[in-house]
Amino acid sequence: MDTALIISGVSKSPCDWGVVGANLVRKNCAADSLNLRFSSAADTAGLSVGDSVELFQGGVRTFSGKILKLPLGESALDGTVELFAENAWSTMSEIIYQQLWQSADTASGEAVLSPVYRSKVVLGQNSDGVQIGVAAQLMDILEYAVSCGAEFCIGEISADAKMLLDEAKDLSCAECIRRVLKWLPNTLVYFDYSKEGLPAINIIMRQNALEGNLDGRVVKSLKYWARHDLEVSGVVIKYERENKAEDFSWITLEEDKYPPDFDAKQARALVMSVELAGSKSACQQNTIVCDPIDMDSSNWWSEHIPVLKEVYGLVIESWSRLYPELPRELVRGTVSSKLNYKTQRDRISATVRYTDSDGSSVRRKVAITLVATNAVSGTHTLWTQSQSVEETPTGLAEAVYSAASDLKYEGECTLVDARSSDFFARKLFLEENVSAPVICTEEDLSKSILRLKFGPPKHLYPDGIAELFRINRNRNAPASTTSRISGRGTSASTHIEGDTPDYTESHGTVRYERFVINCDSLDAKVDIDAGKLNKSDKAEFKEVYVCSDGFLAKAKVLMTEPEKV
Amino acid sequence: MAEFKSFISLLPLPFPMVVASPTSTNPMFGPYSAAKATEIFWRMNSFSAEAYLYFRAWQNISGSSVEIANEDSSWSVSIDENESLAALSPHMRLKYKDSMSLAFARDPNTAASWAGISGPYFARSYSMDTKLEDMQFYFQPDIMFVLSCGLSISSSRPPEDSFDYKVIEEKEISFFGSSIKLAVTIPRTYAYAEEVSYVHEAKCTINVGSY
Repeated sequence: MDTALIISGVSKSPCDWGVVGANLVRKNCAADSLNLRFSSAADTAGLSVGDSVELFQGGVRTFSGKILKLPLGESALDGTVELFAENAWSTMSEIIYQQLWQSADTASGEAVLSPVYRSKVVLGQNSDGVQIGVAAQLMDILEYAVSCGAEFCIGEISADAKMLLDEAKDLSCAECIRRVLKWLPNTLVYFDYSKEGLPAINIIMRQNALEGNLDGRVVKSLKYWARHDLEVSGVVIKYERENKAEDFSWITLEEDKYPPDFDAKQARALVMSVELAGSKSACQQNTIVCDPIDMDSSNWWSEHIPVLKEVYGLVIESWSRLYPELPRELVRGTVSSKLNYKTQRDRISATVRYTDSDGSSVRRKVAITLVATNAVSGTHTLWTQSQSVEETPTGLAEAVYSAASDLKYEGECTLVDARSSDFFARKLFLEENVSAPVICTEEDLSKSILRLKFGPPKHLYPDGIAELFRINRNRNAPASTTSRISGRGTSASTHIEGDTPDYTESHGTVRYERFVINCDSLDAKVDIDAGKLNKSDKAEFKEVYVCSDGFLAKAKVLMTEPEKV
Repeated sequence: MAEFKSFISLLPLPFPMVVASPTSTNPMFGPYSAAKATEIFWRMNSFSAEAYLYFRAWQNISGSSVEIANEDSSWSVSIDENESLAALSPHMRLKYKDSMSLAFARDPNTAASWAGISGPYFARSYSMDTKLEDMQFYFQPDIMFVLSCGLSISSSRPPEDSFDYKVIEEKEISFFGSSIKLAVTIPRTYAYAEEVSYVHEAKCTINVGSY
């Protein structure tokens, strides 16, 4: 069997490297490691922590990683030196997963939202605040790790299911993956080194794993047993939400049960209480006052245009408006857009005729702009939601049941002259209808012994039913689902928008029919009354001859065209 | 004397103008421009007249000369405030239309002797679109001093072919730069009888003043 070791770009056989012992350990959802024992420190001269290590067996790459530990001195016992290398999962353990959150920058005096990375994360949600499933969340974590320098590529991510929102902070990418996969315990996570380039990480469901067969193998030992203790009779997930509105809070309960006719009180029932994010609402009592719009009424116009209060004989000759279908005007309060009413800034104009206090007869256009509405006066209650309800996952109970209900087998097997790549992350066929996924392999290259561990994955799956009950315990119900995209805390003040009363008036060109100028101190007046002219007459300034102090002179006199009599 | 106060009249003259153009028998002062006529009308404030007439006539009766007339008289008349607009202040003149002369002076003792001025008058009819500057105005004198024998000095002249009166002399008088000739006339009794001889003397002046 050709075996080659490429360390720091130098390819040699293990013997040429002076390797006297080599152990390749592969674990589900954990770092694969290669432990090399060199005969002397001289063999590791020039190597340093961080150098790449690749293992080829039979021309196929079976490990790729970096040196993690490299003792400076030789073992006092036998003079050997041990080199310890781990794959890219190790790097993911060192990268804190961060998500983009909207952050408000108020330096300019105006709140401007911009995305920033935060290590406070909400698993099960994308950057737009939309709830996502396991596969999409895993892809995001893996892509983030790759963007941070983890040296792997993303292979098959076929394990998918709905997941609950889970808020956490300061978790590494590796921890996040394990946390997400808590809800899919029957998944297999492994690296495929066989392809050229970077090793590919794969996350698949157990049932989709390739099969590993012991037929034709030299089996040194094999023992396995059934885990009846992990059987569950049914799964009940009780979703609890604590909702808040103003000072009141209440809890809503939803139950997801599988099998549907299952009695949750019987033994081995997996009962979980899952806290979901409830709604948080603020209540605003909104009082609005509306008055009818009566354009034909002179009183209505007088109320809106104060100057018209001081006139006599006010007559509305004609009127027009932009939104005649809205019968009332908003006088006080705010018609929020959340109220099911229409509002428009309406411009109402009219041609009015009146006699002012001086006696002038005036005909003019007037206009007012107001907020017209079809709302009615009253007090309306507005609920403003600062946090939305976390959507209840569907089918989660069934998924957990199917993952935990079937009979599990676990055990160990020792083979001679076998490679871990032929068994790791594969379903090991044990007997008819009995198979178990290989979750850990330990391959002693120098002795050509391969030890397999198969059964429920211990990293993800609890050892006993008691542990199975705890899979939900570390989950935090998210309280920041809306904060991620809005940049606002859930306790931030609510924002009510809508039309508020607004009122402006304008006066068009005055058309006097009679113009009277009064001098109060003299009780005198100038009265220019066009009504005294004949039809089609026009009085204007004309130059006429007058006598000034006995002399002939010219003057401009307001007069009509002279008419012979 | 009426007091002058500043005033403005919306009409150059306070009454409708009438046409009274000069004739050979009724000479008139003028022509005046509208400005001058306006000024005369409003600013004239005094008027007086002085006249003197002397007449002596003889008739040859049967070879002897018999004095048949020997008469003289002098007049000094001043403006009659009851009949003269010029005696009023300009403000008061606005109240009157055409019922009063501009100026009139009468001898209180002899009702047949007077001197007066009326006007102004248009020289002729003008169309409506004629500018005031293009119009001509006249003032009409009305002067008559007469002796009981019939000798008179007057602003009116008898017609050229009159057989009743004969103009025996002309006396020129002026009024605001314009002058006319007064006619000194004697009746037919003296004018055309061959046996009658006569001597006469006639004087007449008018004086006007303005603000």
